[in-house]
Amino acid sequence: MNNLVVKDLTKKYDGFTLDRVSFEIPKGYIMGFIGENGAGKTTTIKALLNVITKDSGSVEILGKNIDEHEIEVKKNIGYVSGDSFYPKSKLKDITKVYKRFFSKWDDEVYQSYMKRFNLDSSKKVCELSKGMKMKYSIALALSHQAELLIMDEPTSGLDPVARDNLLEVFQSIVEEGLVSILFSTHITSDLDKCADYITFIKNGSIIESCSKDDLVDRYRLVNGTKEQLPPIKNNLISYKENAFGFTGLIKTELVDVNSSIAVGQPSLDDIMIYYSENEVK
Amino acid sequence: MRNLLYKELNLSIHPFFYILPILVGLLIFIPMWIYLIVFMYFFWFSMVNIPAGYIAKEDNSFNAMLPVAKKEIVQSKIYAIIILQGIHIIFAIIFGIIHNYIYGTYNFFFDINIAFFGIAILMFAVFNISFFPWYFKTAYSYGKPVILGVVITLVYGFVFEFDVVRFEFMRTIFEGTFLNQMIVLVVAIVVSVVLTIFTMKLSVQNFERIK
Repeated sequence: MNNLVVKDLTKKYDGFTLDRVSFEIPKGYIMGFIGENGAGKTTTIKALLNVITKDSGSVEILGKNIDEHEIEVKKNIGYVSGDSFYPKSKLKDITKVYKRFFSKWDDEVYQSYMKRFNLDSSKKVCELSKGMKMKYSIALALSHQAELLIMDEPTSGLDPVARDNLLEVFQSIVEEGLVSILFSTHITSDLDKCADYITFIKNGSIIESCSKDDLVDRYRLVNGTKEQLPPIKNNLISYKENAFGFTGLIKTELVDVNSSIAVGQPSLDDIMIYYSENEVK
Repeated sequence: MRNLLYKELNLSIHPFFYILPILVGLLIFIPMWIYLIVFMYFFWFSMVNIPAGYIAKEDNSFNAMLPVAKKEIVQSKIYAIIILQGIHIIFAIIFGIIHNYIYGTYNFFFDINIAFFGIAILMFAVFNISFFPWYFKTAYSYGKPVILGVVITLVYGFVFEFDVVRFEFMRTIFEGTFLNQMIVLVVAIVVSVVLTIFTMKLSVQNFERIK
């Protein structure tokens, strides 16, 4: 069963279109949502949650259509937007209001996250660092037994230790197999650590949405001399030329096994970077 | 809805705006004055600073995290403002009774009487229908809607205050018998309720249209 099914989600702006975005997250798994800045990650998340009005497409969360059961569905979601809010209010005052909206609010779980993240509830939001603000948003999102967590760049602004801790928290949440997590990021090392599935978006269109291993398997990084470039140039997603030759990204099925060109496995960063290159073939 | 209203009154609206009805209400103790101005301070102070506060507090970001419908966000904000307007009316009634006890009921302009509070309630409703539907076209740009509401309520206030001074029959209607005054109050309340229903509907419609 899938906790989130997005089908043909479309949203048009002047100069940008979120174009028929589709992906799904099975119950109990973590999906990383990657793409460069401006690729459409936040727009997708906001459109699928009805924070912005979508033009077309459907979103099913925990088996229910969000347009028909919006409030019921949202009560079972933990959403971390990455935006700041109520900077001059104390954390305890915000929490006091926030928890009223969730019947399954668990104060013990909330307190445990506040302790784990070293958050002082008598502080004001503006007194927290960017990373601490993010941790507070995450503590709120995790404390009402949500079955789907949607987070927009939750690890941005966090130091490496805090990021690692947070990723461990994500893994412990999905361990029981009931909760799914969708989180957008451009820090691909986070995904190496904990993502099961990856959805890659570019210019408002989904390039890939599959398991992390499948994604890496679908591409190969090729290194060759300048002379070796012309024959495979048209098969490359993009390439970079250097003094010794070139490095490019190619789909695995297009690799010529008889060629002497060096072939290697790309990282998620490589896939993102080569898709973003200007010299797209 | 109850939770959203609780959020509006406890988190979104600064406590200063609950003290303001007492502060501006004290203006009622100025003798022989245009007392509708007392309520206009609400439009000039509160209705500029409360929407500015929503922006400064990044209220929209917080709302996005909550399991609520867009319609409810609009309704809760309008209800919260109506509650504030109610507080202004309550303090004006209390200070108005004391005023009349001290100075007597006669005023060169509109007396402080039952009909006066009907006209004040209707003025709030007129402001609300001028302000909210336009404001909720963006849910952040409040300048022009406030100007519209202020201009319309200034004209509204002028018409009633001037008429009472200028025309004797208007004094009879608004400052005549108890029955006359009660009729004005009831009619004003009924019209205010109708205007508020339209305010809600138009505001929700405009807010849901925001892309």
